[in-house]
Amino acid sequence: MSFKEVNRSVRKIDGIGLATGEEKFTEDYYEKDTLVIRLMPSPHAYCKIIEFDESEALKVEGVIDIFSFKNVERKVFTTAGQSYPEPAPYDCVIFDDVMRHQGDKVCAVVAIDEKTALKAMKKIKVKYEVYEPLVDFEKYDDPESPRIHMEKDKKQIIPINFIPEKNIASEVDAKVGDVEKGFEESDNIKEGEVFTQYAHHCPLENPSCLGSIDSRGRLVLVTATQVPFHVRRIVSLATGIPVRMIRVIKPRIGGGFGNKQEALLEPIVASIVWRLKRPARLVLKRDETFVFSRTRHPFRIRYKVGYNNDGTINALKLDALQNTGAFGVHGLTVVSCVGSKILPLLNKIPNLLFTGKAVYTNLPAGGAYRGYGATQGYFAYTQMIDQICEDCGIDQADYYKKHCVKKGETSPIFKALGEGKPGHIFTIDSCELPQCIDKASEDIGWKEKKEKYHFKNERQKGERYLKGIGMGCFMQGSSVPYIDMASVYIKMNDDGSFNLNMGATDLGTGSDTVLSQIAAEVLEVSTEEIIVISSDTDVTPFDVGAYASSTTYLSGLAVKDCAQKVKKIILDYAQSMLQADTEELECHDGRVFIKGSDKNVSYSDICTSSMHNEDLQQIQATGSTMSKASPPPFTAHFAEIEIDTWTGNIKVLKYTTATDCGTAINPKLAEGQVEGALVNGLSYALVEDYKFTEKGTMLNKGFSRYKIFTAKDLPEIKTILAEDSYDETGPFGAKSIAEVNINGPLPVISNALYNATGKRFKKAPFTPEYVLKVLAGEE
Amino acid sequence: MFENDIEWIFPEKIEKVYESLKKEGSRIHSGGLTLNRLRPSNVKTLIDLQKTGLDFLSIEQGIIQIGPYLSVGEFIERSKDLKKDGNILVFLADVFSNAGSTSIRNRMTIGGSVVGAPSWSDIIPPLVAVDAKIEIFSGEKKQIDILELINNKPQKPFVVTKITVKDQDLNWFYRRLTNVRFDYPYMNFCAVRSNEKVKCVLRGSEERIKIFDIEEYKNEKITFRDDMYFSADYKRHLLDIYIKETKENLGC
Amino acid sequence: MYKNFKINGKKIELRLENDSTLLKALRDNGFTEVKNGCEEGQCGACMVLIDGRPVNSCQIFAISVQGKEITTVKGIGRVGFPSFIQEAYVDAGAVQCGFCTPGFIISTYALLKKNPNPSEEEILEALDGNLCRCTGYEKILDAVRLAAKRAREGGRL
Repeated sequence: MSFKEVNRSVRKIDGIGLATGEEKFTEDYYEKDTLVIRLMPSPHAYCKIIEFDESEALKVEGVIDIFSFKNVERKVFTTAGQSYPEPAPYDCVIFDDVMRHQGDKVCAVVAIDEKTALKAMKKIKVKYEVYEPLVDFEKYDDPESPRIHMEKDKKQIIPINFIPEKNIASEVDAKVGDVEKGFEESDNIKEGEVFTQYAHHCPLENPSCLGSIDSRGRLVLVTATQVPFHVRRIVSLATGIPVRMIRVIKPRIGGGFGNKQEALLEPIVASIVWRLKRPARLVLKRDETFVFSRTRHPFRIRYKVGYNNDGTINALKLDALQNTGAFGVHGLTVVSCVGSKILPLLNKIPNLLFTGKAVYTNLPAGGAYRGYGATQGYFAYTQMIDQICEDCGIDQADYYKKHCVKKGETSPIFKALGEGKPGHIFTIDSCELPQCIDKASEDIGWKEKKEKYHFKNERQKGERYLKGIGMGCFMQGSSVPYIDMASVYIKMNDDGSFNLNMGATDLGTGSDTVLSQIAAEVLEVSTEEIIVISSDTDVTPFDVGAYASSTTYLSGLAVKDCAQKVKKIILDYAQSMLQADTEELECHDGRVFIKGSDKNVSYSDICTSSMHNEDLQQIQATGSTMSKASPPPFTAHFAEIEIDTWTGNIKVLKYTTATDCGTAINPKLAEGQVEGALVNGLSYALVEDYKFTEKGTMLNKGFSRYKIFTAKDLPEIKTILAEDSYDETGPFGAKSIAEVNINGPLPVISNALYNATGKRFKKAPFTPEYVLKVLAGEE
Repeated sequence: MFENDIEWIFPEKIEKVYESLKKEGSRIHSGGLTLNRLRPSNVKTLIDLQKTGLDFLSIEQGIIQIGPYLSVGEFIERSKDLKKDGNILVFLADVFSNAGSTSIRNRMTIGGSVVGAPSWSDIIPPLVAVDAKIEIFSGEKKQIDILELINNKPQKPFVVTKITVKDQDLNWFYRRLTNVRFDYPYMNFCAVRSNEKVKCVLRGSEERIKIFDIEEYKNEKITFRDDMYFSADYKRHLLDIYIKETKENLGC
Repeated sequence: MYKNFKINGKKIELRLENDSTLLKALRDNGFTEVKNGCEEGQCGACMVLIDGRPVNSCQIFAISVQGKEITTVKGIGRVGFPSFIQEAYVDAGAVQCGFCTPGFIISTYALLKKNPNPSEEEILEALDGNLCRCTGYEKILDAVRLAAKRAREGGRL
């Protein structure tokens, strides 16, 4: 395939604006008269307000008002930024009198500035009835554990098995064949269990929202969101403000990674601004984001696998228990992805049973987070495959190449596991995983090192530093079939440039640039000719938002469709202006030519003519696409590590990834997605964790104690993008790339640890102390 | 944010700093990192040191003279020019460069670290290891041992006016226990060898600062506490390794 | 109250309080290119140069740097007149969400001003106080190398 504008690393269109600090983020929009909103955090993990007296606080000069359960109407909803009906329990209200985790919002203080708000907060008198919190999610159904969402108004709006009497937020299962029969027919059976931890997205921009009332009395929310259209709908539901009276604008976003796929602050700000009719802003502090915004769900994952001596798997039972925290948002869909984003990878296992449960605790709520359950699930799955290969004496890389899903194949899981409803079957149109495995394994020297470092090899015994190497293969999806939708609008300007207005949400990923490239490719102009406005509910058409690795694929398809319609109109005009048949025409350099001749007409003349001379009309079109498939991107990961057996420290020496994302629309930005996900995954595997007291208070809130990797913590990283991968279902062959690479580091390092030590590491993160315990046989 | 409306003063003379310090609610502002973090509620006046000229670094007759207002970043930079004259500077710059990050080190002053003595300091152990002396002014100048300052901080107002260290030939070994590279150490350990003796300085045990000769090291004599990331047992185990490594590295 | 400051080479009066951090004072007066990422001195998004040295403006009382040269990322280059460092960040693909970028550019500027030929070690050292969650730092390191090359080829700092 040869392209002009796609598959090319054009400059990110907002790059210079960001690098000079001129682009604006939500927080940058406030003016001097913008009021400050501060949330009062619950001091306890589980308590009920029995007395709430704000009278003294209201006397503080500069305090405007205080909003709480006492004066804000109670309506249940879910903050999960998903399509309607959301597969999440309606277990949220804007202000409640029950606090379900430490840091939950007691009330909101609105004041002229932060100092005044904090001063007033100290004068609010609250008496709590304090309950014993549920902090161990495995005890969700113990008779002595509290039931966290028993209010009568809590509900599910589609069947997701919301069972508050058992602290179950949602439950899912999927069955293929007969696992018990499969186990009976197997030579070997292995069982295992892993645990993953809480983690935070840590986008550099904290969640923030600014509300104001415009000159027509409408509510305008400028907000750091991945889902502006869902936010508009949810705000309306939660506050009763009609949709027509709400405008949501997404400015530049300082990273999301799932954290901002949530209408968390907007309903609060909306209810305040709507009543006060004054501009106000709510910006979480860094320490608040850890407990008050959403997190990565901790999981316990168990597997039982039956396989023959040649490594063929006959049956697999996978059980995922998810700690969804205080609210069930994204609980069901994240737990579903443990199965749906993993089981199709080795698609020929005949008997599968997947069971998943999201259970409540009095801890921070989980939410969407890059990888979305697959990250946790692969920790179990990839170790399991490693174990089978080690048992059967098969090379892991060869095993994946042999058993992985191939072009033209499908998986029964696509149908068996959807998001809150059955899924849809589709055929894999591209899979260059074998190529990825070959390239990455060659780059790192997999075969020699695997033998050399293997723990059975005597040479390493007794040495302080042990080297190890591990690998794994991963897939994700590209959008959610039959649920996700994207739409765009393109109009032509009289100089031959185009406006591209779209709902798609660029949260720093570069989608404004990538989608412009797609439009430019179709319209056969340079990307600079495309002027983008995205994510303004008044100006741009609907898009579900930036999640589920959908933007390049799905919004890209909508852009392509729309641009093709525009191009057709352009050609119609050119046909009459050039007196030629459409089939004789070709476009390049902003002109329409008669093939094989110099005779041409410029885009500028065409548009000018359409506006001023002939057959007067605006050359324009809309495009709207729903997703019918979710072609997985694939990646092969290899890590070489060194363990200090004295201190337990793990040093990752080299990490190689090779990823098949179909056509990389912008290779440099695609590599950036790979590397960003990878380093986040490394940081998660080795250091990131939430530390709680036994009463459920988080100890390491904030960047001083919750540490993430800096440039100094990196291993040598090699990023490879597969060549010649082209997915017919995607725009110019593109699939997604955003999430898949976060799935690798945890299981791949665990496999490298096994290679070096012969021990399985089952609890994340791999802290030095945990490593020593495993080495000593204490874990 | 402070509770009171803050008055700032920028004295040029130490005497003036000292006089101002005697007023209730007065605090010295050096780099401001600690004040910013803690925002003590009783503060009314901040006495800024930037005009006092206390940001010097020199070597006089084999004694390194460090101005307390000197930032750690500047210390590291200036010590590069002076290092041919003083081995100690190489040592201090090497260990100090572990502290915080580049931008933090540009604000973190050596005097502030010595007086504030935060529990995670990378500045204190090396200075203790080489017996730094602290010159303080409280009406008159007086030289005290750095340990005395840390363990029995003078009750009455005082201003640190100089930190001095005798230059000496030494070898050193430094370790810090952290989660990532830019992190505050949960335990840190500094050993220096000059002549035959190896002096060890440990932060992170239950004692604020523990000093011992490596020959007299007994693990069971040191007590640790669990923190949010590392258990007492692990820190104890790690100290054994540090000692072993010290012996290998410093040849004893 | 109002106080005089020198920012990006110009004298300017800032409205602030006696205990305002430099970050708050700058942002409240329209210098929104200085980002608030953590207010703990840990992320580097709020970095500015004080007399040429990168510092975390969230950890500094504004009053204490009156009279010093304060440089924000806009003092290094603006849209229409970007510095070659800013261009290098865009060319290398080092800008994703861009929230951390002003801070990284401040660090890079300070590094290259001192040393246009930094070693890998020196680059890592210079960036040790800047967090980025989008890029995995690889493209940022490329950007610094590229900017250094352009500095050696005569890029003006």
